[in-house]
Amino acid sequence: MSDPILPLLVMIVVALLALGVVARFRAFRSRQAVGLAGAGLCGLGFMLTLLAMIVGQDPGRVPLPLGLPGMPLMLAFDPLAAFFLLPIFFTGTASMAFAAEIADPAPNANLAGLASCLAGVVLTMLAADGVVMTIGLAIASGSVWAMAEQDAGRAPLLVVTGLAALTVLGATAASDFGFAAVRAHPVWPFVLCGLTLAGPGALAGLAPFHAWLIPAHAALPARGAAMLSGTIQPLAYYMLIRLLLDLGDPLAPGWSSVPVLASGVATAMIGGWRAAADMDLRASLAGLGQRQSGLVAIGIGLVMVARAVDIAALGALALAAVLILAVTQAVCGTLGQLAAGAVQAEAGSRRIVLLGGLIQSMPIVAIGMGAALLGYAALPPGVAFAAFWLLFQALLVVPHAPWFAVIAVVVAVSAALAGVALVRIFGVAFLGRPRGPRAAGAMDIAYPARPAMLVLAGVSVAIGLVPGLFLLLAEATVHQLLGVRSDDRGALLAWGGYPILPLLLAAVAIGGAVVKLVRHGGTPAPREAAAWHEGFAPAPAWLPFGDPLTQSAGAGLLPRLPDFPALPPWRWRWRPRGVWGLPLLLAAAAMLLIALRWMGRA
Amino acid sequence: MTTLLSILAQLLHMAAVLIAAPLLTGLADWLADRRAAPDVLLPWNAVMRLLRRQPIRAIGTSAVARRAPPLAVILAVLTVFLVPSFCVGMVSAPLADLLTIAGLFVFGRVVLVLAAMDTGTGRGAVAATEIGRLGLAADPVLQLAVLAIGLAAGVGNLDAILAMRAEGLVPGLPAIMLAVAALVLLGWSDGQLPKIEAFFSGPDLALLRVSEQIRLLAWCDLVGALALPYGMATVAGGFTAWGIGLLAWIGRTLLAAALLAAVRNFVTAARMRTVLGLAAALCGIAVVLAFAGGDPT
Repeated sequence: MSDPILPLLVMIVVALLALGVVARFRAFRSRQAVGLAGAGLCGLGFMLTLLAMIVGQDPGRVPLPLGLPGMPLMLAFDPLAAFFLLPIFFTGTASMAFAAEIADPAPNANLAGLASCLAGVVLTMLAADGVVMTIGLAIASGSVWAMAEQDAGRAPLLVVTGLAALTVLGATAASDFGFAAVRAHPVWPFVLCGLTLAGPGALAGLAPFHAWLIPAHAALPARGAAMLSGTIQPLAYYMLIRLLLDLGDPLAPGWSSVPVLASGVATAMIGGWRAAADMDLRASLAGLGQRQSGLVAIGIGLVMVARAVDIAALGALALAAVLILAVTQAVCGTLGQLAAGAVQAEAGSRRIVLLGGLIQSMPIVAIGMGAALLGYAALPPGVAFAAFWLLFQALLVVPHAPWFAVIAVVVAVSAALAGVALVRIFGVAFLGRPRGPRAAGAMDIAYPARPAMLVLAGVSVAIGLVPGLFLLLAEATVHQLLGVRSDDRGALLAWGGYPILPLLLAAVAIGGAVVKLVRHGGTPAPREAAAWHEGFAPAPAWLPFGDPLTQSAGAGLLPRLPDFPALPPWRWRWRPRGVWGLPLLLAAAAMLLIALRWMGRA
Repeated sequence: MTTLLSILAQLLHMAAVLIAAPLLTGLADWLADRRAAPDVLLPWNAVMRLLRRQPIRAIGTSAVARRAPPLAVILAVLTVFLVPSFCVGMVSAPLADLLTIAGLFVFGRVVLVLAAMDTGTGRGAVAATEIGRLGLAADPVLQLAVLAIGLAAGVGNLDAILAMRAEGLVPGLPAIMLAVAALVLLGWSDGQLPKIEAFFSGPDLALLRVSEQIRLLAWCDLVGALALPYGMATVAGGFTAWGIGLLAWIGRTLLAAALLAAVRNFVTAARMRTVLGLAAALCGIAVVLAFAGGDPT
């Protein structure tokens, strides 16, 4: 089945790259045409991928007519790639359609970056060897990097991309870079774990390589941040799964999951805390994305545990949670950052304490942001609750050992932190009174761009209602990674075990009864009056938006952290001069070669 | 036949809890202060009177504040819909997932916070901050308590756990009891949420009060069923068993009202931090016990 589809997908990659080049040089005249063409290409890719997943595809492999003699570059289209391509094409369609209608004021935020980033991401996911994966990654990350202003925030993106590329090459070098050969001779688990955490892990924002993620989001224009959040981060999850679960040794011992679990636990806490504490709207959303990375790492770690101790149910549940988390990050990351960008453009700030009351002036953006936040916070009808539920079900079947309690505590606490982030972002920025003239006079996004935002919001809500139906699409992926059919877990989730859809129907019925009860009393129509301010005098004339102190600024929701003892400043005494550069580079290259050679022997 | 009976039991359950909810609040108030005791029916009468009044809404509030009271009622009713009172095996049994019940409690609190923030007033901001802080401490404890119960019992479904308890088949009873003790403290703290009533009037206020009353009963039912499931009937057990189950449930609810009244005289909301800390400690021990217990079979 995939025989015709893989070449078509490659053609879409080429077309997107060509589109990027066109957009780069004819940016001003052709924005709408380029954007709609890109959206069309992504939509076509989405349909093709969906078709391949529904019909059921064999992993097709195509050698590219490029590469060294005797070592052609390989592409493949297997169920794992298909599952990740689906949300990427979907959010790509929405982002391109959004960008076609709304110009971003940032000078570098043109459509060229979007098109080439999507092309790079798709190429990385279709890669069947380390070299193609590296090339795709370089295209994807480089396009996002080029969208940023010239400042310090964007430089680390190149560093982590380089790290990710090096680790992919390092992990596959011993087997001539081909994934099939790596599967036959897996890398030693601990080395693979370290490499993966330092490479794709850093790209996903996993601790201890997490520091760059939130500043990079803040440094990018909204559109670039949406790409970073909605495509590069899922791409990093894909690479984590590919390296650790697909290429990793299926018989790896259980302790090889410990670094992944530890990193996930730390990341979920750090990201959740940043999301709940940061005053910058986009940084807060980036923190939610980082927390998502942590949960993905925890899920992958649990799958590794499941493979080591051979508990199929644990593996299926944890993998389902990971897949849902990845799709959520693609949809809600894009949606949240686009909505935040619209808020910044219209209301003039992304500091939430300068906004307020935006739900009145920007209802569509409020719906988008609300859906994104609901998708991140573990509240019942949201898609995050489905992932949370699956992680908890996985913890119910985990082999009993007290230290799994740490994971449970972290998952629960980070869920509460995400809830606080939801309340703070939505409550302060979108509810209440406007805190300034810009917030009061903000306009909603233009009509042609609204469908993109509403469709993204609708999809994130829909997946939360029937995650089981969605997981049916992942059947082949689960089979590929775990070697077991997940039975009819998808159907089970849709109709039995996961109770959200029936509860929603019950809620509608109860809501109808409540409305009937209230109307039945024959109450007169509601009257509007000024809010009661506990008898305080009205704000003076120079405060036309009221006293800012009388509204919540979102502070005080978090407890104060204890003051940690400050470490003495670390001074780097040795100042390298230019002459040291070449020997250092040579030494690094030599060490890399030795390491690769050694791993090839191992 | 069983399906019909389960539907009948569900209807009876819903009618019983919806009638009992205002009575429980009234009874607890009456027991708490018997020198100037208010009428037991006061909450019921107040709600009925409020429903007939003209609602007054603050200028500038959005749809969130308007929809919050009905949404709070819906969430509360969904919670009691899932928590069995006198009989297990009702229609809602397959949906009665403990984590979902916890999620409904959490969602109810989030709705209150957003409604308080939407009023755009100083008091609303203070109430929102207090409820949010309480939630940050209480929500993880609630979810972990639920996880501990699920781990110890081997399933996450409340109805299945109660059915197992009725047959005396639950392995990790110490962990469950510790987690239930944590749930008692959490239920108490949930009843001490700062009031946001000042910003609502008429039917909106009535709905908010109804939601509070139903939430209180939901907590009592949840804790009571897990701690003292004695006399709990099954759907197929016959009407005599149902009657015994109803009597046992009324007894549990009366006990809960007496305990609530007693606690109200001794512990004030100022002890919130202590209570939540205690709940977290109990729950932590329960989770570690549950994870350290035997492997699931």
